[in-house]
Amino acid sequence: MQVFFKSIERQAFRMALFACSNQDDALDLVQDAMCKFVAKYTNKPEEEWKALFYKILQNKIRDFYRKESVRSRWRVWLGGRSEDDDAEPLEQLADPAGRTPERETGNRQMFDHLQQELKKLSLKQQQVFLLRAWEGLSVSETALAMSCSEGTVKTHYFRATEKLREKLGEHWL
Amino acid sequence: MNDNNDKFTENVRSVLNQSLADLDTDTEFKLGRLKYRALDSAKQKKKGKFVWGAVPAAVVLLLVVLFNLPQNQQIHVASPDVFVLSILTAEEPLDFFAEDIEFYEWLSEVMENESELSGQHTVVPDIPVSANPLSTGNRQTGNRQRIIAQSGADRVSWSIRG
Repeated sequence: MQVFFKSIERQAFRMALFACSNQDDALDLVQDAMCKFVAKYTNKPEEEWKALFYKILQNKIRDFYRKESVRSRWRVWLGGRSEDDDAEPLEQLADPAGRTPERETGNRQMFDHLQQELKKLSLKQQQVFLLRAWEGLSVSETALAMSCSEGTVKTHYFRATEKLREKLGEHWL
Repeated sequence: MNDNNDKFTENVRSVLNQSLADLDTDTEFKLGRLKYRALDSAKQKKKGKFVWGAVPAAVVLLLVVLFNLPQNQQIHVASPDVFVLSILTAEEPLDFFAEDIEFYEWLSEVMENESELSGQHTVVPDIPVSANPLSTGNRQTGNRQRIIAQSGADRVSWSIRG
């Protein structure tokens, strides 16, 4: 179990971070997913662990989105200022890697570009793309993780790939 | 088109993998800590389940002991005491119980049967009043039967005592 967590923890964190854009929230989501996975699915075959873990993580991300949307509605309705409103707008931008100018390289610029475009995708397209292209899950495993049909997975993956190819340009091909 | 797609996906994957190497040590540390926390929480839950499972089991065991143990104790403890007491308070000498008790028990049963048979089916002749010390002078049949039964019991007692 520990080895399995070690193998996926950073990818899971990155995927959660793409979804919620906040490092602490992403860590919380990963931890919740790990706790629930350990509590419920340790007796399942190891081949299924990856898909099951991402299924839990996707559920956590969806719950997070629901809660965030409710909170944002309340903020708008109350017209109040949140704690983060006092911060500089630039500080609010997600920068989980804590980059310094010295560490900037071409590859990182590519990552920033990719990150920006990934965040522009819908949550489902983004997560389906990451599960298929990055984690290498099959269509059926992705469908299990996303709690949707295989046809929906194929559609989301195709649209996400098309949008990213269009935005990222020819030098990615 | 497929080749382009494969190359594009490969590029995306390599950039994303590279981003993992860029995670700062603080995040790595936090990830490691939450991983162990998750594994520990599972162990604690298992312990909790064991405790919560043990409580009903202990209650059931206690009830079983409470309802069954006293009955068993009465059976196993009280019976030998009564038997020993009956031996100690008996008129017969202790050698009697140590030696041929089974024979005397059998003899006693035979004599009792004999007395019952003689009382019910045999015609008992009139016994003179002077010949029977237990007679009160009443010549009724019930008295005769009682006298015969008494004499049978006396014979058994005499046989037992030697």
